[in-house]
Amino acid sequence: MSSTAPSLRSISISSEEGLDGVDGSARFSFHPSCSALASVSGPITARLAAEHPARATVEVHVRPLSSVPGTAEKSRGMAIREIVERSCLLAQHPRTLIQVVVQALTNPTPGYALLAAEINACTLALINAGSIAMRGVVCAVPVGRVKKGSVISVEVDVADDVVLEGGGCFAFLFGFAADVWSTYSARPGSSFDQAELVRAREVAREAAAEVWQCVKNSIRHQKTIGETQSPHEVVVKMEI
Amino acid sequence: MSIVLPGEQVPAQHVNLKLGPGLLQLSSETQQQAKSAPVIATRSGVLNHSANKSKWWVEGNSRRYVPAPQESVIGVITGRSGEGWRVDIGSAHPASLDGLAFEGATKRNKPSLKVGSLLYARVSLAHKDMEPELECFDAQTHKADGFGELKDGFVLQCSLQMSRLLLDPKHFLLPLLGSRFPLEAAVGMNGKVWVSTKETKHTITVVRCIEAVDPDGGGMDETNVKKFLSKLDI
Repeated sequence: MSSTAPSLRSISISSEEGLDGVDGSARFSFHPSCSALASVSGPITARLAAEHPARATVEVHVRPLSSVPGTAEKSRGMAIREIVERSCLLAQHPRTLIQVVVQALTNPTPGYALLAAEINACTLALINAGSIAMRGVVCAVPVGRVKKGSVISVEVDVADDVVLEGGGCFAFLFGFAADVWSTYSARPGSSFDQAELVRAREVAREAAAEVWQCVKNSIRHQKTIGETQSPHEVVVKMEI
Repeated sequence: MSIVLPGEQVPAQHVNLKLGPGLLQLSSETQQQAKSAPVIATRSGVLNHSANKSKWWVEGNSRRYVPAPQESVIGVITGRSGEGWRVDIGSAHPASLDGLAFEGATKRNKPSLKVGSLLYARVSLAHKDMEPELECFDAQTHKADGFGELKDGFVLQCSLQMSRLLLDPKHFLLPLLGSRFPLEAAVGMNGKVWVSTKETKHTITVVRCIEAVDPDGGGMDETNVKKFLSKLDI
């Protein structure tokens, strides 16, 4: 078993917020400057126009830390919706709505770290809600490289003076049949080939498995202390 | 006690295997493979099984009710629909209750319910493609047996796991409160609890205790509840 990548050591997960008025909520952060909060309500009544006769409808709203949601938020929302639709068994709740609201708690990062944190927060919120059957747990990590041919690594905290020339976010569904979703691109002026994409996917897969382990530890911790009375917030930090 | 996440494979194998909430057997192509088709968990929680390992289920918590047949629920009447009523039980779709689904009801002798009345009813039909249907009598005996209109009292919301705990005869809370003051309670599997006591402060005590013992609200245990009760003026 490989040791935790240095950049994943300060993952922090918390589901004890218990946001009122929603069925499940969770907060995920790779790093204090890359954090997202997600809430899930469902299955609830859908508007007649949004009902689907054979499965549940999924609506995702992404809100940035400041200002109104714009095109970047809309594009992240569409990505998250595709992922949520693949990871939940929607056919068990026809004609209902699953409403996911994601709130970014930090400013957008140069890479894809905030998107990865938002995807992880959504998965945790769905697990916390417990009312929607899921096919597996989706864990996402951002990867990047500085220049063509250099090492691809997990990039969660990009320093301001480092320019990522290629990078993307990979999301893996850890369930019986593994699935992957990805967005990998190179900056204008640079390019990438298939071998690089395969390498990036492998780096991301290992990192995502560690994120999955963090999720599992956090849930195990919540369930075991649920029996005692301390209502303090449970924050699981992976410190190795 | 083993905690599972959705997607994790569960070692559930038995000749007469019965899968409860939270588990799904993946479909297989042939009859041969069906005997060893993998079983995965579809929600997070504690994996439990019966003594002879024929019944398996995942015990998890949630707040949103998904109707299942033969469960007792507390509902609020929100309107009439033809011969019956439209009832809100907290699920995605409103439930329907036939006007004659009461003990001893005939066309000339119907119960006097109004919009806004509280009901303790049993879910008689719950299918994912249809609206749930309710009945106010026991399935086998066709007698009221506690089902019907709930008058006065107070309804509070709790998590679904809390309502399952309250329905467990071995759980400590309701007998403990009942030993301090007279108490009437109806617990719905949809996360709603109706309580009726003679004094307002007793009702408030019950509400505060249920919220404290709820796994969502900290999961207080029996000794701490007793300490809590001693601080209250009851």
